[in-house]
Amino acid sequence: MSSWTTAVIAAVTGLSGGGLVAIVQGLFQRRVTRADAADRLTDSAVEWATALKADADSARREAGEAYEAARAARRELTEVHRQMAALADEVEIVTLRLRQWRTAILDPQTTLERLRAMVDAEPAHYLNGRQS
Amino acid sequence: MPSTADDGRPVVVVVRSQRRPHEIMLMLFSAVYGVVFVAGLPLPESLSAAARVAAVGFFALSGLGGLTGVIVAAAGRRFAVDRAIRLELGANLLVAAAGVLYVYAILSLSGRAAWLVVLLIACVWITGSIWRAGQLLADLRQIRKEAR
Repeated sequence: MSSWTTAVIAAVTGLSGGGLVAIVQGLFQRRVTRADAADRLTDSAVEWATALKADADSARREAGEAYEAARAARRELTEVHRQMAALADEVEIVTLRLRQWRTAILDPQTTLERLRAMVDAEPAHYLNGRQS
Repeated sequence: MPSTADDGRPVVVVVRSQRRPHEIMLMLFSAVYGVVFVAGLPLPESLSAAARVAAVGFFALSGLGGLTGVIVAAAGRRFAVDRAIRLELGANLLVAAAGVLYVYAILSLSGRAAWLVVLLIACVWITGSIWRAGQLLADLRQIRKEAR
């Protein structure tokens, strides 16, 4: 058998064998992929779709990061509001205390002992209404 | 430099160049040729006994490959994409094998005198089918890689 014939037989065997295997797999093999590719596209459309998919992934990622940042900002804002409310309460207490002291100081019948007693009314470790 | 519209966005036009008319006509020709002769019509008288095996093999492979290719082309989107790709891949390989046998049969009978016909078949039929099979194999690999 000439080498030419051998080469032809080898080529035909390889091609037809591969072809039959592919056809049998196509007919009987169950789907092993999760893709639901709707259609085949031209090369330029594939490039465009790939770029679009990358942009969509990037946008989704950025949206996720922005959402997390917004949540963190909301938490900080809540904390700031809480602190401001506590501060407002302290300011109100201090203002009331100062008014009481002013009234007492301007009262002509006030004595020094009475003023000391008013100031000493708060525990030494309790400054401006806040535990220190 | 991609073309841009007035607002700066790239202009994209998707054209429908996936009809593959040469491939479909080759599949149709192979299917008709193969099925008709395997079904019982006598072989062309130009084929001598020496090339008979090649001729019978040619018609069998041609018929099976061509039929598969025509069915896949006609089914369109009714087949899942990976199944359609596998079937088309198989059809192209069988048709390429048929082309090799055809070349062998022609050269066995006519020798170098038929070099132009042989070259045409080798380039268009065999190489085109193997090239298309390579594209389909790359598509299958991409599907497996991205969608498993």
